[in-house]
Amino acid sequence: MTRALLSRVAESIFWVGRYVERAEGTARILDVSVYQALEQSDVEGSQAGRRLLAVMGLPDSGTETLRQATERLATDPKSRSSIAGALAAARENTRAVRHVVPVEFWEHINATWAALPLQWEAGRRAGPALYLSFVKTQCAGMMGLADTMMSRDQTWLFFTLGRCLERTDVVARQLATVAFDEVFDSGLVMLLRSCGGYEPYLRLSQGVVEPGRVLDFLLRDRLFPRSAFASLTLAEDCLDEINGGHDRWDDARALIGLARAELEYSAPASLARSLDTKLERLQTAISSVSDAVTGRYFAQDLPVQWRQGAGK
Amino acid sequence: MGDLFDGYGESAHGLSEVAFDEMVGGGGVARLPYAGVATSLAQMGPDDVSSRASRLARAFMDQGVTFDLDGEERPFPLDVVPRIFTADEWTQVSDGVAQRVRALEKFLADVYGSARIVSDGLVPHELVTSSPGFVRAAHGYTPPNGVRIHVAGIDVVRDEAGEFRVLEDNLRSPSGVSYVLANRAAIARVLPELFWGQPVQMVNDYPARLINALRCAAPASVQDPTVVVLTPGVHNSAFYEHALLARLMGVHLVEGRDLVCHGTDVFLRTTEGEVPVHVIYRRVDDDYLDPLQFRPESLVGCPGIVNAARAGRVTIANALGNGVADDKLVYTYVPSMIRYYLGEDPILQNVETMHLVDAGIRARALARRDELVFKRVDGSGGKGLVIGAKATGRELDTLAHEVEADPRRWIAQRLVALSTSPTWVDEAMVRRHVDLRPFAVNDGEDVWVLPGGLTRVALDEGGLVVNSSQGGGSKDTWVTGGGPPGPVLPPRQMTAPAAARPQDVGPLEEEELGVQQQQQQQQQERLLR
Repeated sequence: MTRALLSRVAESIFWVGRYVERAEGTARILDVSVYQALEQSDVEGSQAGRRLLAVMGLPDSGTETLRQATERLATDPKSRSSIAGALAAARENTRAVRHVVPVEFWEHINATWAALPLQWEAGRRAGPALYLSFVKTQCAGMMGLADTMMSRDQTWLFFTLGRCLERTDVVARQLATVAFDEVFDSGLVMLLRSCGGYEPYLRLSQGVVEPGRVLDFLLRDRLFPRSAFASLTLAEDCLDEINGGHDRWDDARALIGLARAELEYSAPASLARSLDTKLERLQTAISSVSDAVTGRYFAQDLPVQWRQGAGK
Repeated sequence: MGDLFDGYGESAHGLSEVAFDEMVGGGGVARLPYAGVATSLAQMGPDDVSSRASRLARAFMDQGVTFDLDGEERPFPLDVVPRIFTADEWTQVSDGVAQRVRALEKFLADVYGSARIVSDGLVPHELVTSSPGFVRAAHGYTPPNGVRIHVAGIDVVRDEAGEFRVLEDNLRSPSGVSYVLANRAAIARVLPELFWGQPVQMVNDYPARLINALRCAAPASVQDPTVVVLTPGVHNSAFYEHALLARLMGVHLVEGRDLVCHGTDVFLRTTEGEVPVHVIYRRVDDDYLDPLQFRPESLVGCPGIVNAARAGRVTIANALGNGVADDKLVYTYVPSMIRYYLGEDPILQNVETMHLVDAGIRARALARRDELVFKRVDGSGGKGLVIGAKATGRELDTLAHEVEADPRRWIAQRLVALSTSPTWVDEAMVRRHVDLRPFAVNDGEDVWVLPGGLTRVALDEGGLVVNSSQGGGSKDTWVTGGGPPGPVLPPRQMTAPAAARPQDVGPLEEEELGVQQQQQQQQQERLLR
C-alpha cells in the first residue's frame, strides 16, 4: 500500500493542524489579556478588547468591551477565529478523516468539542480562566497524541505543517499589534506570556526584559519551539519529507526558505528598524505557502458533472 | 432474580404477550445462557445499572458512534443487556445464512448469465426483468473470483414459537457491522463483570475477513491490489461505519471526487499523483455509482467505473445488480432456489408471504390489510413498510390504492410478533422486540458468518420497527461457548527469566535521600548546639 494520502484527506489534516494550533494560540492570548486587564483595573477594557480583535484581524465595532471581545473570541461558533469555531472546524475535518488518525486523537478532539459549552458555562461563574485552561490542556493533549501515536507519514507531516504555519502566523500577528518603540516592560511581558515564552525568555536573558531581545527571541530563537524561526524550520523539514527525495521544484518550500532566511540573516538593528515591513512580508509568505501547498497537493477538479449529449 | 427484574414478565401487552422471550422461559426462570448475566445485573441493582447505562451513552458520544438523520448526528443507543445465543442455536443461524448466500450467489450468476432457473420454469421471466434491482449493465459480466455478494446481511427474526425465520435478504450494501464492533468494545469496558465465567465468541475478526475477501476479489492480473472504501460522504447516515471499516482495514476511504477514470482504469487522486485502484468496496447505491450509466446528476459516484468493472480492470464490491436477488418478491423463491441450486433443504424458513400480482390473492390480502404487513419489494431501512395493525384507516386506504396501481412493487406478510428481550428503558427493565442481522463475508472459497451479528431493539413499547432511523437501539450480541477459541498468544513464562534486568531509576533513591536528610539534620543540630 502506498504512503500517499488522498488529496482531500491531506487537506483536511493540514487544516486540523492549523485549527488546533489556532485554538490553543487564541486561548493563550485571551488568558493573558483578561488577566492583564484585571491587574491594570481597566474595567471597561476597551483598549485591550480592541487589541484582541485587531490581532485576529476581526472587524471592530469600536465599542466592544474586553468582556464582549473575549466572549466572541472564545465562543462564537460561526467564526473560524474563535476557539469554539476553530475547534468545531478541527473536529469536522477530523471526522471526515478519522480513519487515518489514531482513535484516541479523534475521541479527544470530539470530546473536547462536545464539552466546550459546559466549560464556558462553568467559566461564567468562575471566570474564563477555567475555560481557557481547559482548552490549552486539551489542545496539548491533541498535540501529544499526534506526536506519540502517529507514524511520521504524510498524515503527521501535513498535520505538523499546518501547525507550524499557524504558529508562525499567530506570532507575526501578535508582534504586528505592538508598537515596539513605545512599549512598556509590562507590554513585553504580556506579549511573551501570550506566546507562551515568558519563562524560557527570562532564563535566556537572565531576567532582562528589553524590546530588541524580546523581538529576537520570538522571531528567531533556535531553541524555543514557538519562535517564527523554529516553526518555519520544522515546516521546511515537513515539506522536504513530503516531497520525498524527489528533486522537484517546490514553490511552497522555496517561499518558506526565503522567509526563514530573511529572519535568520537580518542584522538585529535592521530587524527592529523595518519590523513592520518584515512582519508584513512574513504574513504574506505564510498565506502564499498555504496557497502553494494547496495548489500542489490538495487541488482537485470539482466533481465531474456529466450531462448526456452536452457539447463535444 | 432480585428486584431489577420484578414485573419484567408483565411489562408486555397485546402482541408482545404472545412473543417468545429471549431471556425468560416457561415458569419465569432465566434460560441457561442468560443466568450469569441476569445474576450480575440483579446484583448491581437499579442504581448501578442506571449509571452504567449513562456511561455507555457517554462513551458512544465521545467516540462519535453515531448515525446521521436529516443532517444531524445522533448516537445509536446501546442497551446494557446483551442478547445471547447458545453455540447450538448459533450453528443453525450461521449454517442457514451461509446456505442462503451460496444459493443467492448461484441465482445471481444465473440471472445475469444463461438464466437456467427461468428456462426450467422455477422463476418467471417477468419477475426477474421487472425487478427494480435488475441492472442490464451487469448482464454477461463474470466477477474475477465468481463472487458478487462479498458481504450479506440476512435479517433473521424469532417467531412466537422461538423458531428462526428469515425476514429479508440484504445483498447490496448492508450496514450495521460497525455497531457490532463498537457495541462489544463498549460493553466489555463498561460492564466487564457480565463476561465473567462464560466464553463469548469474539467479533473483531471481521475487518480481517473483509479485507481478505476484497483482496481475493481483485482482477486476476493484479499481484498486490489497492482496495478502497467508497463512501457518499460525511453526511451519509452510515459514514461512521465507512470510516471505521477503512481504518480497521488500513485502506483509503474515498469519495467519488477522489476517483478518476482514464479509459478503463480507475485512479485515486493523491498527494503523490494518481494511483491505480483495483477493488472498490462501495457503500454507494447502484443508481448513484456512475453518472455515465445511471443517474446523470449523481455527484457521489465516478464517471466510467462501471465500464472499468465490465472490462475487468477493477472490481466493484458488492457487485452491480445484486438488488434483483434481495427483491422482496424474489425472496419468496429463495427456499426453492436452495433446493434447485444446492439440492439441500433450507435450514432457515421464510416468513409466510403473499404475492400480490395475482388478482385473487391480492383481493384476499387487501381484505385483511389491517392485520398483515405490507412491504415495498425494494424498500429498506423501514421505508415503504406498513404494519396493518398499527396503521390508520386512511393510511390503509392509501396503501390499497398504491398496491392496486403497481402490485409488482408490493408483498404482504403475516405479522410476526418478534421475540422480546429485557431492555433498560426509562430506569426499568422491560420487554422489547428485537431482530437480528447476521453478517456473512464471501471470499470465494468459503462463506464466513460473523458470530453474533447486530441485534436491533425497538425502544417503544410494543414497537416492531427496529430501524435506527425510527427510534431503534441495539444490543451487544453474544454467542456463548463452542466455536473456535480466541487467538492464543505463544505461551508465556509466568516467572520472569533469571537474567531480567531491573528497570532503570533516576538519582536520589529513597535510602540515599534518607542519608542526605539525616546529614542535613545533623548539620542543623550541630549549629544549634
